[in-house]
Amino acid sequence: MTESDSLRLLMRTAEGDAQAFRQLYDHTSGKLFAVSLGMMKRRDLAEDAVQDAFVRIWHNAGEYRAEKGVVLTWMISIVRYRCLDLLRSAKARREHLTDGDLDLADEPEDHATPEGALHAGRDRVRIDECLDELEDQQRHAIQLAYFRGMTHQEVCGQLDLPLGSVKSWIRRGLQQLKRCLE
Amino acid sequence: MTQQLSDRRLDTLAAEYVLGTLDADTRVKLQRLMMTSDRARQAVWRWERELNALGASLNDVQPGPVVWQRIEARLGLAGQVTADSARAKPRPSRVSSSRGWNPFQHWVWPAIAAALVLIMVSLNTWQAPQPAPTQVAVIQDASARALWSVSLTEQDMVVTSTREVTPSTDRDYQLWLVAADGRAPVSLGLLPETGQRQLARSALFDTATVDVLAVSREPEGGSPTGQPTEVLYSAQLVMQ
Repeated sequence: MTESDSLRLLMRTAEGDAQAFRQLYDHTSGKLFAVSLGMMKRRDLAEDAVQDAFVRIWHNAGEYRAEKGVVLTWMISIVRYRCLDLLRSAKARREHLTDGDLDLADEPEDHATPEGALHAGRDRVRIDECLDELEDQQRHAIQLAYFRGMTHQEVCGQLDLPLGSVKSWIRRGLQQLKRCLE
Repeated sequence: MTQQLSDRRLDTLAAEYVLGTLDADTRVKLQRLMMTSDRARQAVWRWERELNALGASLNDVQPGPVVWQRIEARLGLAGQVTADSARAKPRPSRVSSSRGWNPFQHWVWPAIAAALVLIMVSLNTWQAPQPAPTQVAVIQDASARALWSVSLTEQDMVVTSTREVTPSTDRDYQLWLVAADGRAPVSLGLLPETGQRQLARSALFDTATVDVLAVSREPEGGSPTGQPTEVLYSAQLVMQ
């Protein structure tokens, strides 16, 4: 689907056209679900996030601006922010956990989760050229935060690095990315 | 966080905001700044464009059909969309026939259209076209002037304001569900000050006995505490 097709569907969605909204869903839900699954790790949680995102997209379709990116990246922003919110509240719950509480964040991951999503199973895009210029661990840290929704703390657990260095690595990595992208 | 932020610092904050690694305090501060600063908004949008290209590069994974069904139910779209319509191939715009009798001669179309109208009219009188609101509440002020009407169906909740509502720029009206079991009021969302607004239908309508709906006056953006600040009105839901 071309960008002008997406834009047309989004405009009609903003006008309350349910049929156009369904078409937009058919064309984009696979991408939004892939993003969500990488972060939430479980199909049911990932589906909840996609559901919330599309409810928001229906209500906020009129607030799309081209400056926020193409329609698809705007929609991905929405699902990612939703996943980050869900992950944060699951983590906050886990910190205040009492006996007998059901903690979703501790449940085992679905086996269907595409573990390779970090490195495989995707096309290379412009920003990958710039990511390639970073040091390996710096790139890896940014990818873990982006694709897995990991916090600084979780990234340092994953990469076995001190917290302070993970923070400054990510920060410097992003600054370097910015210079490369300009 | 003010305008003194250097471009470079603002840009790094924006990048970490989009990436999701900002701590809660800084995140909230940046969100507030975005409300007033075009520079901050632009910085965040630029990173949303760049970083979310990574998400767009992932291979599609199809969610289960239940996702669309739930979206449809939450938005009250059920029945408006047919699942296969999006994938239906466009029909040829002209039908030609090499056979002797062409069933699509022009006189046929008005006849088919007339028959369809007849069928639709009879279907409409035979079955209700839209799900009727199941419960309604009218919120009135002390002089019994109607301010809002709330209609609650099995799928959604729609609130309509009347002309008696005076729009205000510095405060909001918030709707609350007060349950009979004595639990703290639960927010249902902000009320429209003009026109109509669809609010998410709280699951509590199905699990708790509703005592009344209440309306409170709140600072702009809604209650800062999660509880009503100043309750102004209440109304009961009745079956329509």
